[in-house]
Amino acid sequence: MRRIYKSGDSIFNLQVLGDIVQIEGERLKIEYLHGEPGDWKLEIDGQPVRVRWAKRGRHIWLHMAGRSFHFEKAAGGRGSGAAGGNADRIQRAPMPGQVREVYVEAGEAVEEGQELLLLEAMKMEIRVQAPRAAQVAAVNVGAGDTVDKDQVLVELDGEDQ
Amino acid sequence: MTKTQAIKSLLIANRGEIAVRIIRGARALGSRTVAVYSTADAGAPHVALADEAVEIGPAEASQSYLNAEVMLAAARQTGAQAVHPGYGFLAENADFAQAVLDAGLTWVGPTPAAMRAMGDKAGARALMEAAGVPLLPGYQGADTPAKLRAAAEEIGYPLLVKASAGGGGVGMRVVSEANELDEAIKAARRTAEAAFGDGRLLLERYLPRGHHVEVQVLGDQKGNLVHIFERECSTQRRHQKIIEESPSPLLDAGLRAEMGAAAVAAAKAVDYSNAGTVEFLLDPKTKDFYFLEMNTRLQVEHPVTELVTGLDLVQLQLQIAAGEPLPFRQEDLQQTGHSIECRIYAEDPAAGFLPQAGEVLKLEWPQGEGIRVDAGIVEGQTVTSHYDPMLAKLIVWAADRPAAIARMRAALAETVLLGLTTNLEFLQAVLASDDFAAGVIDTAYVDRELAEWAPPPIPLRAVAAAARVDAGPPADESELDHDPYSPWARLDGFRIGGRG
Repeated sequence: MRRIYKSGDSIFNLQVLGDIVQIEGERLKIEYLHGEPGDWKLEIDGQPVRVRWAKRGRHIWLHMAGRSFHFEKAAGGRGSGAAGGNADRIQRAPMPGQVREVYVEAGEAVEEGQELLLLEAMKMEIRVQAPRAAQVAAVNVGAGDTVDKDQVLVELDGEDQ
Repeated sequence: MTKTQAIKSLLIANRGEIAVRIIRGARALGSRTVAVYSTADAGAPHVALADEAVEIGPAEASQSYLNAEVMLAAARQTGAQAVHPGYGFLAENADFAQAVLDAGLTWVGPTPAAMRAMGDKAGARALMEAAGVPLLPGYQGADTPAKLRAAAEEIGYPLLVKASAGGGGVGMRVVSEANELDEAIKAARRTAEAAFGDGRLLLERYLPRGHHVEVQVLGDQKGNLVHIFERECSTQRRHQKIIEESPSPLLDAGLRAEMGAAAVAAAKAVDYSNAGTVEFLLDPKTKDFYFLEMNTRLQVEHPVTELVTGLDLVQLQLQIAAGEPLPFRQEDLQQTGHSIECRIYAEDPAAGFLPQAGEVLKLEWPQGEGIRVDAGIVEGQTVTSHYDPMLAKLIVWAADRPAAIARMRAALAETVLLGLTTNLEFLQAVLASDDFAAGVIDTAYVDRELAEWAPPPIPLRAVAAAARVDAGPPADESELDHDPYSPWARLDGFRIGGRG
C-alpha cells in the first residue's frame, strides 16, 4: 500500500507492507504495543517509543522523542501530481487578517517579486509578492477587507508568459 | 502584614495567560475575581477560573478588551472594587486608569500622571535627561519628514524610527542608510497610527549589537521605591522578546547596582508607584547603558524576577494598590540562582514567524522541580488571529545558568502542543546554540543570524509513526477513526496491554 505524506516542504513516499514501512529505501519495522487515544507506545525497529498524537481530517500531528511533527496526507494517496499545479497562479492569504492596501489591478503586468498587496494581522505586515512575472488575472479583495487563511487574494495568468 | 482595606473583589481587564496569572495571585490574597471575555474567548481558561465572568463584546479587541466603557460597565455590574489591567490592551492607557479612579475604583498600577509622563516617549526622554538617566543620542520634536531628515543627519546612521506613543517594538524601524529613511518614516507612521491612534515619531541612535537589559522597579504610595534586579531580554525576533532571563549574563554586582540606581532614579522622576520596568540598552563592549523606555505595568516576563527573588509581584501590586507600604527595603532583596522564560508562540519560525491559528488538539505541559507554566490555553481551545499569538510561558529555575538552560531544554522537549505550528523547536535551537550559552545574543541576533533557520530534518521514524497513527489503532480500539484499507486493520483482535 502506497502513501504520501507532506510535512512543510518535504514529501515522503511510503510503502506499507504489514508492519514494515519502506521510506526512501529504508525499511522500518513498526509495531503497536499499547496505549489510549492520542497516546501510544510503539516499537520502531525494536526500540520502544512513546508517541502523543492528534488527527484532524488529513492532518496528523505527533510528538515523539522531544519533537513535534505535522504531516498532511496527500489526497488520493497514490502517485504525485494534483497538488502543486495551481500554486503559482493563485495567491492565497498566508494567515487570517485584514487587507491594508492593494497595489495591482486586473490586467496589469507584474514582475517577479513585485508587491501585490499588503496584509496586516497580529501586529504584523505581510507583503504578498508575485512569485514570477505574470499578468494579473483577477484581484478578489479590496483594502479593508477581512480575509481568512488560504482565501484567494490575487489570481495570476497561466504559466506561459 | 497590615490587612488595611484589602481588595475584596478584582476585575481583570485582560485575557490569556496573564489573566490566569492575576486571578491566581488575587485569589491567594482572598479576593473575589471577575474575568471579562470576548465571544471568541468563551472557552478560555481565564473565564473558567474566575469566580465570575462577564462577556464584554465581539472578538475584535477594539470592541471588547480595548473598550474602556464596557470594562467599567462590567466592573459596576459585578461590584468589583479594583481593576487590574495586566499588560497590553488598556494597561498603559492613562485615560482608562483615570476613568477607573473617577468611577471610585482602585487602579492596580501607577498614577495616570506617571503613565502619561512615561507613555509619551519624547517627553520621557526629556524627563530622564533632567533626572540624569543616560540616554542615546536622539531627536524628539516636530516630526515633519524634513525635520526628521535633518535630525537623522545629526544623529548618524544606523538609527531607529520609533513611535512616540509606542511600546513593545510596534512601529519601530531600523534605518541603516539615509535613502531608507523616507520609507521607514512612512511605514512607522502608518503602524503607529493603526496601533496607538497617534502617528508621532522620534529618532534614536541604533546600537547594532546592543543588549536589552531591563530593571524591575516597585514603589508604594508613600514614595518608597526599590529595584528588583534585572532581566536580560535580548533574544528577540522583530523587536519582540522570546526568551528572557535573570540574572543577565552581562552584569556584575557593580553594574547591577548602577543600573538599579538609574532605574530607581527614572521611576522617582515621575513619582512612580506600583510595579514598573525601566528598559535599558546595554553596550556589551563598553558596558555603557542607555534608557529606552519605562513600561508602566506588569511585564510579560515578570516570572523570572519572581523565581530568583521568591516574591509574588501580582500580590505585591494588589497590596500596594490597597495602600500598604512596601514590605521590604532594598537591602532585604537578593537574587538567588538563575531563571529563564521562553514564550511559546503560535507561529512558524521557518516562514518569517508567521502567526498561526488553529485548534489545540493535544496539550501536555512539562512538570517537575523548578518548572513553572503560565498558560492561556487549554486543550480543545481554538487559537484565533484576533489576539497576540503568545500561547503560554515556560519558566524554569535552577541553581546556575547552565543548569537552567538544561532544565529549560528538557521542559521544552516535554511540552506536547499539537494542532498548530509553534516556535517550540526554534526555542530549542536558540537554547542549544553556543551563542546563547556564551550570553552574547544581542537584540538583532535572531533576525540577523537565524533568518534562514529551518527545523532539523524529519527522521524517517517519525514518518513511519505518522503512517501508523494514520492507520488507526488495532481493530479493538476502533472508537477512533479507522481506515478499513489499512494493512494494520487486519491485526484483528491483536492487542497487547490494551484496556480490558
